[in-house]
Amino acid sequence: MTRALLVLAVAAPLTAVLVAAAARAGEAGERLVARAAWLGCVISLVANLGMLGLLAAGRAASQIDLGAWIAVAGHELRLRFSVDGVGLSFAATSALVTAGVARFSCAYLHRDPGFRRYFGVLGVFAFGMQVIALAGTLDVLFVGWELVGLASFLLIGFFRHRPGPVRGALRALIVYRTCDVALLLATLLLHHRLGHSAFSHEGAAGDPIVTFALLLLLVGASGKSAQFPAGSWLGTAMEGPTPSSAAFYGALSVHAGAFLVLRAEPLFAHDAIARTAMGAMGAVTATTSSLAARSRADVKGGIAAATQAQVGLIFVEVALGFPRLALAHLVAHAFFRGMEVLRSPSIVADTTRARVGVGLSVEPHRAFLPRVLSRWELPLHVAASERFYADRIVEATLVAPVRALSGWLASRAPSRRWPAAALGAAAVLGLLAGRGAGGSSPASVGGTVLLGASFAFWALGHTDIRRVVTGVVASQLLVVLSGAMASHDVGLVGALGQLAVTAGVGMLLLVLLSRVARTVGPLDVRVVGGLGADLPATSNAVLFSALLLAGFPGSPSFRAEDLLVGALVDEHPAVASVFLVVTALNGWALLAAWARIFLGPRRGPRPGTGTDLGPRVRAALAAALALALAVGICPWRS
Amino acid sequence: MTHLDPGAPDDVVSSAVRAAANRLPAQNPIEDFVHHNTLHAYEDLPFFAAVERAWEELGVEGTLSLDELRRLHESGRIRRRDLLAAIEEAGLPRRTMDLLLGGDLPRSAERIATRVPTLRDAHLFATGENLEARVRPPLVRFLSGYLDQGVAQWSLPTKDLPLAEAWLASQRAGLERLALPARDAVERLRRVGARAFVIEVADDLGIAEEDVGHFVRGELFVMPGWAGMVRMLPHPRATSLDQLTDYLAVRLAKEVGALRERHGATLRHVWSRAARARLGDASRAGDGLLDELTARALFQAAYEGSYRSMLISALAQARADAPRESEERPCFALVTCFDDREESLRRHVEEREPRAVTFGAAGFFGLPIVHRPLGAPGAEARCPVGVEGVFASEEAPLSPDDAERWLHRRGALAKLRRWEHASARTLLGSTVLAALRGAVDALAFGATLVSPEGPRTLARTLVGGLAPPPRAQPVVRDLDVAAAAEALGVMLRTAGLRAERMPRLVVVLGHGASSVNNPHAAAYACGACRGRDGAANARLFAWLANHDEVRRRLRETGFALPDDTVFVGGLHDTTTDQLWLDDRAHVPASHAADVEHFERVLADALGENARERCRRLVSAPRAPSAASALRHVRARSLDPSEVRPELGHATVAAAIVGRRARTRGLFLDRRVFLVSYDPTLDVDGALLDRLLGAALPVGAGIALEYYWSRVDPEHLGAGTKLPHNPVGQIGVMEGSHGDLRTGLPTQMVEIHEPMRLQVFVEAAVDVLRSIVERRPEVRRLVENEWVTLVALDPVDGTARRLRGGELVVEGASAPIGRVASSADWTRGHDGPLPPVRVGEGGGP
Repeated sequence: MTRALLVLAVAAPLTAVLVAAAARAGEAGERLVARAAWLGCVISLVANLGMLGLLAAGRAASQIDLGAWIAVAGHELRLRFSVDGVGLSFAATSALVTAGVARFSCAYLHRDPGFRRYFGVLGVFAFGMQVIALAGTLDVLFVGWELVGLASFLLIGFFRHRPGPVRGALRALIVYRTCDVALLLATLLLHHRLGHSAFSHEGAAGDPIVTFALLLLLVGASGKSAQFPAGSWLGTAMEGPTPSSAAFYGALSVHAGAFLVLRAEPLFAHDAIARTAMGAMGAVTATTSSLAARSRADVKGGIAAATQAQVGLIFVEVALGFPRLALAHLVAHAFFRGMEVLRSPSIVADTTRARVGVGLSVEPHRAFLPRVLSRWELPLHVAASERFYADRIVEATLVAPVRALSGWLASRAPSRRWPAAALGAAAVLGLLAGRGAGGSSPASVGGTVLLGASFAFWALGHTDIRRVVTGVVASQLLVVLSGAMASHDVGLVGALGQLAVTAGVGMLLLVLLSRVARTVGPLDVRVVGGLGADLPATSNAVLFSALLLAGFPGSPSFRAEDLLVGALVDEHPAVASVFLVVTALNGWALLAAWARIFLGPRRGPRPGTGTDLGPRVRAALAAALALALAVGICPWRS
Repeated sequence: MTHLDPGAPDDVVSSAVRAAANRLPAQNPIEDFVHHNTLHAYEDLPFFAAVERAWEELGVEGTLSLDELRRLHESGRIRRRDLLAAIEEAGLPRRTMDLLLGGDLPRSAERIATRVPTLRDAHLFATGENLEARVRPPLVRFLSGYLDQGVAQWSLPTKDLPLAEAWLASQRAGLERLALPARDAVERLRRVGARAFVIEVADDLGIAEEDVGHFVRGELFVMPGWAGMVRMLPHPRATSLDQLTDYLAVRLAKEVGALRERHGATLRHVWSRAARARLGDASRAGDGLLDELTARALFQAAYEGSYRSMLISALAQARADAPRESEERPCFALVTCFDDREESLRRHVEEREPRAVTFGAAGFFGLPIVHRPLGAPGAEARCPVGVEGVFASEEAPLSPDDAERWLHRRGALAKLRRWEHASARTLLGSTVLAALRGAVDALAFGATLVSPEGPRTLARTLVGGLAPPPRAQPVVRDLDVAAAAEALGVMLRTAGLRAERMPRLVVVLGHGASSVNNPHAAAYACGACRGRDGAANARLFAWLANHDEVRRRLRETGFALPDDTVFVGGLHDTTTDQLWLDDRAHVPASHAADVEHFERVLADALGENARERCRRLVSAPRAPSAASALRHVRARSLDPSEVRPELGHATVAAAIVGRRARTRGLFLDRRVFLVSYDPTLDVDGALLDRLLGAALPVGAGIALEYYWSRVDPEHLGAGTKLPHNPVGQIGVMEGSHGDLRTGLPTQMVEIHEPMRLQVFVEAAVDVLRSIVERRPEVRRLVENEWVTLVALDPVDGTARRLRGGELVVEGASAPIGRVASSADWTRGHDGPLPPVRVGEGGGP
C-alpha cells in the first residue's frame, strides 16, 4: 500500500511533462497541458496525504526499496525511499504548493508562447521535489536535486530573448553546479567511509573525513538555499513568471537545502564542528539578508532577501538541535512566502489604499541605527543593499580564478588540433597501461585525469561554442579513459558506455553546430547570440545533447558515471573526485555556451531560412532521445 | 508633471539633455497611471515622418511589422481596394501593389545609434560582452532606493540629496571605493560636477560636438523607464533637468569605471572601433520604388481606411433608416462616460427600453473637482490632466456615528496590514508571520486548487462584514453656485440634454474597474478622473443638479430643468458589470418607481453586456446565459491569477462626436468613443470648441498609447506582465534589475487593432476647421495626422475627411445588414465584428 502510494506520489507530476511534450502548440493545447500538470500534482498530493494517514495510523513501512536501479556485479544503486514524518511533511508541502501554483499559472500564463515549456518544466520540478523529499539515500536525493536545479535554470531564463533572465539563469547555474560538486563529493566520501549514503550515522563517530564530508554537504545545501556567501544568485533569480518564482524561490526550491540538512540531522547531530559551521552560516545569512530585505525597494527583491534570512534561521535551528521546530518553521514559511510572492503585484494597490484612503504613512523607518551610530548608517545601508558584497566574494574566490586559468589555457593552446593530439596520446598511454599486468600505474592514471581536467578548463576559456564542445568531449573522454585504466570489470562496463555516449553525442553536437555555422559563420559568443529564436529545433537538440553529455540524471551517461564512480570510490577516491569535478565543469561549460549562443537578444548574422532542422531530422532526433532516456531510466541488472 | 527649468544654462550638454528629456516616457508613478501619447515629443512631425524619426533616434517600431501587416491583408482585415486607395493617395503607381504584397523591401533610414553608439553598444560590438551586466544591477539598486516612494522599510539615508551627490556619498560609503579603476571615474565626477563630467567623457571618446546630442539621448535611452522617472519626480533642491544630467553623469561614471575595470583600455579605442565599423551594416540604401517604412505606412493607411469606410457606411445607413425624432418624453436618461466600454451598455439599455435615451460625456462630467473620500487625509484631483480642480468636494457621512465606527475599524485593519507588510521584511516579524499565517496560506493554496478567486472572495466578505462602508454623500462645502450652474449648463447643453425634453429621471454613471493583484489597475479606471473611478464626479453632478439654488441659477441662464426631474449618480464597474447606485435612498418617493424601472432595465442590460464581453475572453464560457456571464466576469475581478481582469480599451478604434440619433441602433462592437454633442444647439461652435479641446487630446492619448504599446511592446509598451516586479510604488520593473516598464502590458493590448483614432464630428466643415485652427493642441494632432478627423455634415450627412488643407469626400462601401438584437450578431464570433443595424432602430 505505502509502496503504491509512494510510486504514485513521485511519478504523478511527470504526466505534465509527457502531455506537454505531446500536446499541440499554441492556445489549442493550453487547457490539456495545464490540466495535466495540475492533476499530476493533485494526485501526488492525495498520495502524500494517504501516506501521512498510514503513518499516523502506524501502518506505513518506513523504508521502501523499489529495487535496484543499477545492480551490476557487486555495484548497486538501489532506489530507496524513506516514508517518515520529515520527508512526508515536505513532500506534501511541495505537492500542495506545486498544485496550487499550477492552477494559478493556468490563467497567468494564458497565451504566453512558452506555455507548454513552462508546464513541462514545472512537472520536472514537481517530480524533482518529490524525489528530494522522499529519498532514502543521498544518491536518490541527488537525482531530484539535479532536476530541480535544471528546472530552476530553465525557468529563470524563461524569457529567452532578454539579457537579464539569461544572465540570472547562468549565474544560478554556476552556483548550483559548484555546490552540486560539493554535494557529490560529500556523497562519495560518505560512501567511502561509511559504506552507505543513507542518512543514518552508523559508524560515523569521530571520523574527520566524515566531518569534511558533512562540511561539503553543507556547501551543497547552501547553494540551493542561497546561504551566505553562495546566495547572491537569488537576487537575480526573480526573472521568470511570478508563479514560478513563488514555487522556486518563495516556497520550495529555496528550502531544499534546509531540508537536506534536516534529513542529514542524525549525521550532523554527532558532529560538533559541522554543526557549528551550519549555525554560523545560518546566523550570518539571517543577519545580512534581513538587513538587505529592509533596504530593498522592489517587492520581489525584498521577498528574496527576507526568505534567505528565514532559511538562515532554519539552519540555525537545525544546528542548535531543534529539528522539529526547524521542520515546522520550514513548512509554515514555505506556504507563507509562496503566497506572498503570488500576491506580490498587489503591493501597489495596498500601499495606495493605505496612504490615500487612510492616510497611514508608509515610510516608518527613515533611520535604522540609533543616533550615536548615525555615521555608520550610510555604509551599512550601502552594504546591505549590495548584499554585503556576497557576489563579489563569489566572483573573486570562484569565478575569477576559474576564468583566469581557463583563459590562460585557451590562449596557450588555441588550436582545435590540441584536443585531438592529446586524445591520441592518452589513448596510446592508456593502451600501453592496459597491457601492463595488474592494472595501470598511478602516474598514467593521474596524468590522464589531469589532462582531462585541463581540457575542461580549456573548454571554459573559449568563446566559440564548437571549441567548447571539442574541449568538453576531449576532457570527458580523457577522464573516462582514466577511470577505465583505474578500475576493473564493472567500471570498465561503465567506462565503455560512457565513451560510446560521449563520442556519439559529441559528434552529433558538432554536426548540429557546423550546420548552423555554415550560414552564420563562426559561432562565437562575442558575435552571435539569440539564435534560438530562429532555430528553435536546433536549440532544443543542442540543449538535450548537452544534458546527455553532461551526465544529467536520466541520461545513460549518468548511470555509466555512477558505475564508474562506484567502482573507483574505494581504491581511487582522488580519481573519482576529479572525475566528478570535471564532469560538473563540463556541464557548466556546455550549458553556459548554449545559453550564450541560443538565448538572449538576437546578435550577429541571421541564419538563412531552412537552417533549422527539418521534420525528419527532428523525428529521428526525438526517437534517439527517447531511446537514450529509455536506456537511462530502465533498470540495469546482471 | 514636472517641466524643465527654462532658465538653465544653455551649454551643449544642457540642451542635449533637454532635447532627450522630452522624448523620455512622461509616465506618472504607476498608482496615478493616466493614458498619454507615448511619443508626444514627436507630435510636431507628420505621423509617418515621426515614426521614421523615432526609429532613427530611439530604435522603436512605429507600425506593425511588414509580415504582420501582410498577414492582416491575407486574412482580409486589410482590403485590397483600401490598399489601392492608399497607394493612389500617396501618389504612387499601381504596380507598387506587387512590391507591397511580396517584395523584399529595403529600409531607407539609418539608425543614428549605428553611427553614434552608446558605450554599451560600442563595447558589445568590440568585445561581445554586455557592459550592462556590470553597470545595471548596482545602478538599478541605487535608483530604486533613491526614487522609492515608501516601500523599503529602511530608506536610503541620502535620499534627500540631489542625485549625483547622493550617489557619490553611497560610493564613498561602500566598498566600491576600493576598486581602483572605478574610483578614478568617481573622483573625476566628484571633482568637476555632472555637466562637466559628461563633456569630459564625450571629449575622451572624441565625439564631435554635433553628435553630443545623439550620444546623450542614446545613453539616456539605455534605460528610458528609469531616466523618465528621474525626470518626472520633483526634487526640492534640484530642477528635473539637473536631476537628469546627474543621472546621465552617474550612468557614464559607472560605465567608464566598468570599462576600465574590465580592460584598462582607453575609451576612445573601444568607441571608435565600433563607430568605424558602424556596428555592422544595419542599413541598406533604399533606391527602389518602395522602401519598407513607406510600405508599412501604406498598409497602415489602408488598415485604417478599411475600418473607416465600414463605419461611414454604417453611419449613412443609420441616417437613412432613422425614424423621425419622437416628441414623447423619454422614460429616463442615462449619462455615462464616452468610454468605448460604455458603448455596448448604452446599446443594450436602448435595446431593452426603446423609450430611454443615453448620452456620453468625458467621465468627469465637466466637474473639475478635488475630492476627499470619506476618512481620507487629503484630497486628489479627479479631472483630466491639465485641467485645474475648481470644486473642493468631500464625502459627508449620513450618520457620523456609523462613519466613526467604520473609520475606526478600517484604520485598525489598515494598521494590521501595514504591520504585516513591514514584518514580512524583518527577521523576527517574518517568523511570527510564518507561524500565524502559514496554516492560513496552506489553506489558501488548497482553495486555489478549487477556485483561484476563492480566498479573495472570502477575505472580501469578511472585511465587508467587519467594516461595512457607511453611506455618505459627496458634497461641496462653500459652493460657488454660479460656477456650478455654469459647469452643469455647459455639460448638459453640449451633450444635447434639452431642458424641455428632460425625463423624470436622469442617471449619471461614472465608471471604474475592480481587479486584484494588478499593478496596472489605474490604467483600467477613468482617464478623465486621473486613473480613479468616476463615482464621485457622477454623484456630485447629481447632487448639484438636484440642488435648489443651482437649479434656480440655471433657470436664470435660460436652462430651466423641469421640477419633476430627479438626478441620481452612481458607478458602473466595467470589470464586473455591476451597478452601484448608492444615492438611490435620497430619491424622493415620487420617483421610486422610475428608479426601480431603471434598475430593472440596467440589470438586464448589464447581463447582456457581460455576455457580449465574454465572447472576446478566451477563458469565459462560450454562449453563456446572462447569469453565468455575470458570474464569470465577477470571478475575474477577484482572481489574483487573472492577468486580464478585463480588456480595457483594447478594441478602441474611433470616436463619434454627435447626436446619439446618428448612431442609435448601430452595433459598434465596443470600438467607438461615443461623445454626445448636438450641433443644432451650438450654432457658433463655442461648445464644440471646448468639447474638442478637452476630449480630443484625451481620446487620442488613449488610442495612441494602445497603438504604440501594441506595435512595439518591447520599447513602447510594458511587455508581458508575467515577470513584473513592483518597485518603490513608482512602477514595475522587469525581473530583479530591469528597466522600469512604461506603457501598457502585452496582456492589455494583444487583441488591439492598432489604428490612429478615427474621429467623426457632426459639425459643419467650416466650424470644425476654425476650431482646429484656433486650438494648437488639436491642430497638431489633426494636421500631422495623429488622428483622422472627419466632418459629418449635420444636414445632409456627407463625410469629409480633413487631410492637410484639402477635404476628401469619403464614400460609403457596401450597405450593412440588419439583425434583431446584438446577441444575434455576436453569437458564435470571438473576433472583431463589423457594424450592423440592430432592431427596428430609431427610438424617441
